[in-house]
Amino acid sequence: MSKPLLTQVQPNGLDLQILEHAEESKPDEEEVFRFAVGMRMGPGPTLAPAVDLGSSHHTMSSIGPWWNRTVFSFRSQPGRQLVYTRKKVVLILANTEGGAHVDPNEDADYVRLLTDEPLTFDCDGVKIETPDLARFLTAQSGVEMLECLKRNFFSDVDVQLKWEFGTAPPIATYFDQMSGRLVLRLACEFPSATMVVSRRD
Amino acid sequence: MPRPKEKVLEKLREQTDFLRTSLRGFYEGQFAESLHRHNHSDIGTRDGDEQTTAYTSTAKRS
Repeated sequence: MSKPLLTQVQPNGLDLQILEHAEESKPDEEEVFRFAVGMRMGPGPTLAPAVDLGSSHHTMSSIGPWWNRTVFSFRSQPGRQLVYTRKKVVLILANTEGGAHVDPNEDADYVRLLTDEPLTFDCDGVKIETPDLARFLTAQSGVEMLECLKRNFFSDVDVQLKWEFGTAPPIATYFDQMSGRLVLRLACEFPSATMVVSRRD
Repeated sequence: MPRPKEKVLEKLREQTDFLRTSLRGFYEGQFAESLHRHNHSDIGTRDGDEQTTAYTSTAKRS
């Protein structure tokens, strides 16, 4: 039976430190949707993957919780709340689109990830094609893991803090998370909705 | 019998280099395929909305 390299090198491999974006909703908030993935909007009507490990939204965690963290949460078309952990997103992608073992059948969960996204983007009225957030998230997880390997084992490896497509444009908007929440307040008869976009400093 | 730690570290180093190379490729432009949408018109119809969402790609590979 195979065993992860990390735990062969270090029995407590899942306790190793790793940077992650981890902003959970509060107990009195009902999360409608959340996509914890870094992106850049611009230049023009384009979306690109963009990770900044130096962003104040990144905090130190450990591999175990990082791997099992909820990264996507949204309501499916029939109204069910779908919750995806990092582990689930990465394994679905690995099993359906890459690597040595590719499942010949489409994974229903992955199809939902591609088709049930409630978000559409536009820039100055121009509609932007919805990105495959699963791929963006998987690449971001790879960046976080690379920094973790450097931090814990190979200090000589060159790992920059910022990863994004092309040269950073002079005007663009960066964000690390998008979420929508219903906030229930005791003093308020009706719940109020909150839209949160975690922009970078 | 467990592998010697040096051998395991060597393997981990290989995987680290592979990960770094793959990520550079992705952020240098191969991510464009992330914007590719296969035509899912059979499953793209939204409830309560007669419009069928088109997922045909307009992205270009760089």
